[in-house]
Amino acid sequence: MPRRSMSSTSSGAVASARRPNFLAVMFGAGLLLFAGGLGMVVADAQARIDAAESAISFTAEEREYFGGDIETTVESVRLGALFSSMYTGADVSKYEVEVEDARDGSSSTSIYPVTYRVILALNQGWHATPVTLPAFAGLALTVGALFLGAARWHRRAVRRSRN
Amino acid sequence: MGDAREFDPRYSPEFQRGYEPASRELPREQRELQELRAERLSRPRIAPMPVASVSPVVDTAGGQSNPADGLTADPLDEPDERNDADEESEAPLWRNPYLITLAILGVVLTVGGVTLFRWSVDQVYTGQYMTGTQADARQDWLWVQVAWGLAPLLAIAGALTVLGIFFFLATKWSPRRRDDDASTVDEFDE
Repeated sequence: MPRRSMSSTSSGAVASARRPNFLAVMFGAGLLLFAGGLGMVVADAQARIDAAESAISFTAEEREYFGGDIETTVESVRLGALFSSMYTGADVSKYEVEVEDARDGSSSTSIYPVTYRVILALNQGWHATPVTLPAFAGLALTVGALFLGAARWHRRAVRRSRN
Repeated sequence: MGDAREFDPRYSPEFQRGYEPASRELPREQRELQELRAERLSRPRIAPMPVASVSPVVDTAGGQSNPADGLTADPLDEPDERNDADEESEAPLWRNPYLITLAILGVVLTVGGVTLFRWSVDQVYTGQYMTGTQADARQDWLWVQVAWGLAPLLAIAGALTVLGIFFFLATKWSPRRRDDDASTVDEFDE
């Protein structure tokens, strides 16, 4: 009888060794998903910066009109476009510059956004954007794998003979 | 009615119809069954500790030592006796390495997420991102956006993890006293 049980145990051990560890697979998939989601968030932020860099452009006439403050104006508009996009979840807007000459010889300028394609939130504040969801899902998968491991783990205290 | 051969051999004759203790003699088979049952009942449920020592025996006469000489127990019975001798008990939950990892992860995620979100808000509203060179500013813009997008989710995940740990402890709690003064072995119950 012991020989038979040892044989079945060894075959069972071989079968379990061939079987992939479910917890390890789940944990690894969660980490991979989190890393991939983090990469997506970084790529999205980089694309937003690139879009903000080209959010506004001035012609020579407009540059002459704004004078020495043109760089400060450009930087301010770019950052406004970037963070407005970050707050609302919308695409980075393109800005147009309009210079109007009045009849009395004076002129006025206006800078206004011309594209708003997607707005996820009207209020300026944090909100979950779709690009952050894969990273959160990966984190949830990782934590879930740890909870499964905690539920399946048990510590066996064995009191052996002292002779 | 009083014929003992009609008794069902699977059960004790005392509890079967027609049993007369003083006037009848049990057949040999049923007598053996009764003796076996009495012997089984008198035997202790837990096997006694093995008295054999497995320490090697040194042959003082100069001959080769035979390890089997020092054994008084049957080697084939050794695994069963060892299993009977071992006493298993559950260890306290705070020794669960997964639970420890989850507790640390939950606290780190919660504190880190809140701190990261505060940092991103400070960066945006205090204008600290405008200092430094253009390349530094671009890097700051990048990480401010990443922190803004992910930090609240990290804090939420950390808070849910801590909450889950409390639920886990609540489901595993029992008023039994735990005995953990022995050596321990980690394993999965697969």
